[in-house]
Formats: sequence, C-alpha cells, structure tokens
Amino acid sequence: MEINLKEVKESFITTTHDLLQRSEALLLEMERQVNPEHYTELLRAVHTIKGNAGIFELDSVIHLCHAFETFLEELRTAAVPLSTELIDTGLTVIDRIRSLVALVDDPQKMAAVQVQDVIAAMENRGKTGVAAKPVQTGNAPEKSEFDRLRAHTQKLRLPEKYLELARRNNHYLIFVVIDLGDQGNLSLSQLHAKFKALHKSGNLLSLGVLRKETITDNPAGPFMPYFLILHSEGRAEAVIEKLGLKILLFHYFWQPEHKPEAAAEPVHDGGRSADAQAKETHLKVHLDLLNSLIDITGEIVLTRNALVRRIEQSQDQGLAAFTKKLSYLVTDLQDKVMKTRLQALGTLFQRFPRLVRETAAATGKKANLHTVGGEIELDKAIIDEIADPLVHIIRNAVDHGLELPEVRAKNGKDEAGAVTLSAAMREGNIVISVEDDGGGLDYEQIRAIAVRKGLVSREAATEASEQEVSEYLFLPGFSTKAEITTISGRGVGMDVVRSNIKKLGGSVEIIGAPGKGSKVILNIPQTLSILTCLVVETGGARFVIPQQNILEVVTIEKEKLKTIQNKEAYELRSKLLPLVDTAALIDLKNENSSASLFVVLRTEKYHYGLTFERVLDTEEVVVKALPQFGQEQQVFSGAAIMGDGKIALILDAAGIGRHANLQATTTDRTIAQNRQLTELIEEQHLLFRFHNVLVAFKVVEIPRIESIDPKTVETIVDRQVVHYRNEVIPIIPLSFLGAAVEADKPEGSLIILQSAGRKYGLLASEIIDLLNQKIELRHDDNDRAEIDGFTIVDDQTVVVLNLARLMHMQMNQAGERKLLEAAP
Amino acid sequence: MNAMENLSQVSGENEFLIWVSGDRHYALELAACQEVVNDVLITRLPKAPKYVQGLGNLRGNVISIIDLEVLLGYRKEVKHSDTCSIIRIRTDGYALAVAVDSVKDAVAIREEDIEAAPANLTEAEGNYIRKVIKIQEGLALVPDFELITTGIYHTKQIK
Repeated sequence: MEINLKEVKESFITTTHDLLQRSEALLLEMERQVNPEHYTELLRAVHTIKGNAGIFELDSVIHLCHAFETFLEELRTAAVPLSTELIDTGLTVIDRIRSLVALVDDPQKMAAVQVQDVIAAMENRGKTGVAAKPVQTGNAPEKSEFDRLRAHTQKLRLPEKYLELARRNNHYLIFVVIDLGDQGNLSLSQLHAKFKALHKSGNLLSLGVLRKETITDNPAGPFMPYFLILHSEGRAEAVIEKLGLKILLFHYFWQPEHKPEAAAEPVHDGGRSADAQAKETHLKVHLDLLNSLIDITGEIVLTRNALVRRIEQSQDQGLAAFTKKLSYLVTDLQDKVMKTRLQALGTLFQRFPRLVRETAAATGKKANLHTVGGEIELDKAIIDEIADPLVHIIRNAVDHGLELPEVRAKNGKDEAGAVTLSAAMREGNIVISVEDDGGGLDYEQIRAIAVRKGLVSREAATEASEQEVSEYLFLPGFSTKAEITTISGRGVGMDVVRSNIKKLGGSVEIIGAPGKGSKVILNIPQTLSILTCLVVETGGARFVIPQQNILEVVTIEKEKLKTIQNKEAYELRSKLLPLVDTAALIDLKNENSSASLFVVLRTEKYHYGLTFERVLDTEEVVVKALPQFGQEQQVFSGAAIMGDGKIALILDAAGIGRHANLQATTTDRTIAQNRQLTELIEEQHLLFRFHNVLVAFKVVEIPRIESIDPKTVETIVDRQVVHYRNEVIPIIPLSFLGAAVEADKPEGSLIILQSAGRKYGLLASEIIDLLNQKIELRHDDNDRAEIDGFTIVDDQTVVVLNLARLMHMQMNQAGERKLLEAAP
Repeated sequence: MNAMENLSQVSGENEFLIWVSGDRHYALELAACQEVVNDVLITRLPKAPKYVQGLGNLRGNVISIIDLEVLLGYRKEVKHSDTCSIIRIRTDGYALAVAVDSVKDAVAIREEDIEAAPANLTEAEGNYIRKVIKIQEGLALVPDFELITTGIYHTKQIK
C-alpha cells in the first residue's frame, strides 16, 4: 500500500492544530486552577505532537516539545500555582509550535525559526517556578519515588504480542499502576472481582505486582504497587473510570494513529464508553469535497424547482406523483448535505479567552469572558468568515468598551469587566452578540471624532440622533482611540466587520447604553448558499426579502396610512408602524403605480413595513455576494440567482432601516426596560385549558366546539391534522406556549375556526368558559407575535392568543410548502 | 459569433480583441479578456454609479457590467435593456465586464501601431485611456482596466 504523504501531512497539520488549540485552552484553565488532570492531558497532547513531528523529522518541533514536556513535568512535580509569567511562557511555546507547523512544507524557512530563546525561557522559568515552592509531599509514595516509578515504568518493555494486538485492533495499549494498599474500603476480594470483570470484558491483558525494591527506598511501607496492562478502543480514562480504582499513573505504550478527535477531547468529561463508539462513527472528509457537494445540491434544488413548475402545467398525473416524490427526496438531501458542513461554534469560541486575556493585559484592563451557546452549530464556511470580525469586536469590547479597573471601582462596578459572547438561534438565524458592561457609547465623543476625521460635517453630527451617531462607528476610517495601538485603533474596524458580515447575508448592529455597556449584534443566516425568500415586485423590478426577517404581509387599507412628521406610518393593530416606500428608496418611483401592500420586517434593531406592488412567490434562491458596485449600497445585502437564472437583489432589512433613518424600536428591548402596556378590553373571550396552560382568545363569532376522539388527530409530515366530518382540518400548533404536554392525556376538545373560507382547528384539553367581563390585557414589545398579551382570570395567568395572526401564519407556512407539493 | 473560438485560437503579446460600442472602436489585449458572452440577462442595480449597466449572472457568478460610453463621458446615461453582449475582463479581485454592441475580431497588432493616448483627451477619457492602436477603421481606444478598477475603488472611498 502506498502512503500518500500529502494526506498524512495534512492530517498531521489538522491534528496538531487541534492539539495546540486544546493545550492553549488547558493552559488558560490552569491559570485559574491547577488540576493534575490538566497536566496529564497537556503532557499527552505535547507528547503526541512530538511523536507526530518525528515522522516528518521536524527537529525544531521535537526539541521544543521535548523542552516543553520537561518544563511541564517540573511544574507538575513542584505542584506550584502557575504564575502569569509561566502561563505566558507556555503560550509562547504553543505559538511557536504553531508557526513551525505552518511551515512544514518549507524546511528552509522552518529552520530559520528560532526556538532556542523559548527553550531557554522555559529552562529559567521552570527552575524558578520549582524553586519558588517547597516540594509538597503527596499521599503514598514520596514525589521522588513517584518520579522514579514513572521513569521506571515508562522504560518497561511490554511483550511484543500485546503491542501487536493493540496495533492490529488499532487500540490503546495502557500500562496502569495502582497502589493496592490505598484503595479505600475495597477489600481484596472486591478488588479481585473487579479484575475478573475487567478480564471478562477483554480489556485486561496482564496484571501483577511491581517489584517494590526497584522503585522505592522504603520497601517496608504500606505501598503496594500493582500493574495492569490493558488494551482498549477508548482512552485510558474511560477504562479507568469503569474500573473504579484509584490509580497512581498510566502510560500509553501504543496509541492508535489519527484519532485527533480523541486527543482534542477534554479528559475529564470524555470518560464514557459511548465516546469510544462515537469515534468510530466519524469520518474525516475533505472540505473541498463537501463544498462541491453543497454546490451540486444547490443546483439540484434549483433544477427541481424549475422542473416542478413545469410539471405543474402539464396534465400527466403519473409524472406529478414522481415529481412529488423526487421533490421530497431533494429537500431531504439538501437538508442532510447542509448539515455535513456544520460545526459547533464552541470550536471558534475557545480561541477567545486568550484574546481577552491578552487584550486586557495590553490595555491595563481586567476582563472575564463568558461564553454562551457554544453548542450551536453553524456552517463551517460561515464560522471561518465570522472569526476575524469577532476578533475585532471582542478586542473592541475590551479596549474601547471596558473602563480601567480604577474607573470601574469608582463607579461601583466590579474591577474586572465582563464580556459576554453569546450565540442563539432566532427565526432561522444565528444571533451572535458581544456584550460588555463597560461605559457604553460616548455619543459626544463619537460625534467629535467623526467630525474631526472629516467623515461627517459638523452640522450633520450635531443634528444626528444617537441612533445615527452609533452608525458612525461603521464608517471607514473611524477609530475612537487617539493613538494607534497594536490592539485596535487602526481604523480598520467596524466597517470591515460590517462588510464581511454582509457578504454572508447577515447584518451588524450596535447598541449602547451610556454607563451600562454596549452590545454588538451579528445576525447571520444559518446556511450560506440557499435562502428561502419572498419575491416581490415594485417599480417593474423584482426583489427578494429573506424569510427570516419577515413577520407578515399586510394589504394596505388607505385609511390606515398616516403621516407623522413627514414620515409615513401605518396603523397596524392599533400600533403605528413606520413605512418605507421601496420604490422611492431605490429611485424606481413610477407615477402610475402605487404600492398596495407591505411586508412587516423585524431585525434586532428595527421594526417597520416595506411597501410593494405585488408579492410574486416564495422561492429558494442561491445567494451570492454583490460585486464591488453593489457593496456600497446600504439597501442590498446580496444578489440572488433565481430559478430562471436571472439575478434579483436581496433587500437588507437592517440596512434599509438604517438608510431610511428609522428610530431603533428595539433598543429598549435589549438594554433598557421593556415598555409594558395595559389595556382594558371589553370583548367576549373563550377560555380554555391546553394541558397546564390557560389560554383565551377573542371571540368574533362563536366557534364550533366538538369533543373528539384523539385517534382522529394525525401527524402528517410535520403538522397535525384532524379528520372531521370527512374534512381534513389543519391544527394550529400551540407548542410555543411551552405547555407541559402529557402524552397520556391527549386533548379531548376541538375548537373549529374559520378564516378566509378555510377551517382551522385548535386542540384544547378542556373548554372552561365564555368570558363576558372586561379583561385587563398586559402586553409588551417582547411578546411573541402569536399572542396579544396576558391577563388574569380568577388569580390565574391566561395567555391571550392573537387568532388572526396564528391563522395567517398557518396559511403562510402552507404557502411556503406550495413549491414542494406539486399538485397531482 | 464565434469570438470564443477566436479567443482560444490566437494568443500572443500583441493580440488585441476589437469591439464596437456606440460609434467608437475599442481594443484590449487578448490576455486581459476572459470571455465574450452574448445575450446576458441584465438586472438593473438601483442607486449604483451611472456608468453601471447592471448585474449579470455568468454561470452562477454575479458580475458588474459597466458601460464604457458613460464612463468615458460620451453618453449621459446607460441605455437600459434586458440583455446585452459583454466582454468579461480579467481583473484582480473584481468581477467586471463591459457592455459591447458588437465584437469585431481578435487581431495581431504590430508594435509600431500601438501608441500612447493623444494629448487632446477629455478628463474622463484621460482618466482611463492610456493608449490607442491603429486599426483599419481608424483608431481604437484601449481602456486601462487597472486604472478603471482602482479609479472606481477610489471614488468609492471618497464617497
């Protein structure tokens, strides 16, 4: 078999990268708290790198790793708490190894990289570190004995047949030393039983007593070293945990090759046997291959859409059935293929504790980073694209956001500032925010700087609202720092961040509350390539709006149009919604056409209506970045290639909000207090119970209520329907209520509603009453669109549904599926 | 209309692609032309600079199409149409094409027929034209796309 050196090398690079990443995380953890397991894992990682480097004869890496191991061993033996300098040294080593490995293809450059300085630093620091603290005495064997034991057992030669066995099965071969005299309350017979079980499981190859004389000066002590030789598919920790014994140490005499996932795993929570199996089920695939799969799938989806449309027009029933099936399969395929490139954000997030540490150190701040939502998965291509922007934002948060410790203390804040990096899924988007509890945005200073740098005129700056001023931060060349530092302040900040995020079809917004902190919010679509969009038309041109920004589509009723301070607004459910005239916005105003409807858009910051003449369709489009000319437009986030091959521009909901100078409606939602409103409503409400939640809705006409046999409720594809008098009625899902649904107590009543000639069903556990009294309705901006608010009936909280909205959403969802369901 | 074939057949330092836009001839080193495509569907780009014809879809790549006539100041506005023929330009990092009325041919031009741009150019012309070549029909302007892309980028920065 021929070995593909290139592949092996690539595998070496990725493995090493993972290991270094993990080592870095471990070092940072050790700065806070030292744990023997940290050393074990760190040493193993370094050792693995050394071993792998040996294959390519990377001498400098080997030397460096070797010195690093010695350094770590010394520190471990000394058991001292690690000073910042020691951690710094460790981080420098990791960086150096990283840059060496990056040069693996260029031996000459690699040879030019210095390693002696770091090695020297480790030798000095390691000794001082050790000397700084007296040697602690451990439990049974003295430290020196322990070292001797380690050294001695490491040099052992295990029988060749064991090695052969491990090699053949690609298992770990583990040599474990335990102290029989120190196993707590376990009796010898219990120990025996444990070993027997281990033998049965096939892990145990051999066991026996270690000759004490060779390893201890004190043969008379209670120390009873015993060795076990094990082989296992998983790492040693898994086996040892199963064993349930206190162990002194273990060595690997054979490690399976290329199990980088295993190495990158944290030791302390990687101990379940399920892990061992998970490793087997994963496969490394080249990213290029995945990318081309995704591209091809994109093309297939588009072709499918065109095909479905064509077949809808033909009369061939059989063909329609086939197409429908194909259609489902393609959707499924797309779904699965998109998932292949997903990666947990945690892999990206683990880079940032170090960034915060270093930025804080360089700027004299104190900062702690908290991360939330690292388990959320995102397309790898997106993760790669947001990495640099996030670095900028996090640096800014520490450098510009947080105040100096003295200032913070004076203001009654904790000296160490908190930077919170969080990710969450919202309406098909990933929202990543970086929030600091620093001084917030200094609007006056931002105004002054923007004027001084000639980015805006003095007059404009004076007139600008805080809202507009916060947008100055995104101007090219803006930087609030007076002097340029290595950290930030080179003026390639937020404008680059915004253009990078825009390339992904996302948006960036910044919200600041003086004195309380600021928050940068990235809103990013979960997948790059295909987006479900609403296709609209205005001024003779076609545009698409990403579905994720759309709340609803509303037909304009002329009498509800209002003009307030020269700005158009619309009275929607007794609230005023600002309106943006799309045709005017993009200079396509045509006198003899007028907008007949608007789309209600919501971003993190804006909430407004965008007018159109016609809604054409819902379509899945392939998203492309705009070439250079499009990028300076604030109103487009990208170009979409439509099913017919033409390009349509994607409207950027956040960009338009900015461009039209809308008031941020949601600022108060995120940082300040919510506006809470209470209204008295005198209308009839039907009160019912859905499992443990009380629900009510406004009764327009008394609905029909039927008790039903739960068996007639079926789940078809992804929604529930009920059979009712030879009709199939879709059921409006109430899952958003978060009720504790008891599976054994299915809902027994069906409320039948009518809207636009269609019937919808609501399932209820129990119909309670028809309320005729006035109810006090409380609602705030945070409420979901599906509900009107809350009220209290007989001291119990009742959720008041917005039925019109719910039915509308149900209908929209049906519309979205229309494409997939070629009518037979 | 087999300009594509011509493109692949001829090569060499002094090969130029000649095309007509409005009532002028233009030329560009063959090596700088990526491809000629007829009947590209054009999507107008609202709020773009006035010399931008629109966006086109070339096998899944979105490219900007510019109108040299407007860029060089010969015409006030782009003549909008649903489709047009384009020459895609090889540029560094820009997805750029020019709208053309008709592509003539690829011809070999002798060194002595390549001349520096005359001094009597307008400012708009002077910004983007560095040389002209002599052809049978008279003179053909050779737009300098490096200047064009940096010029466009520069104006963008000032804005």
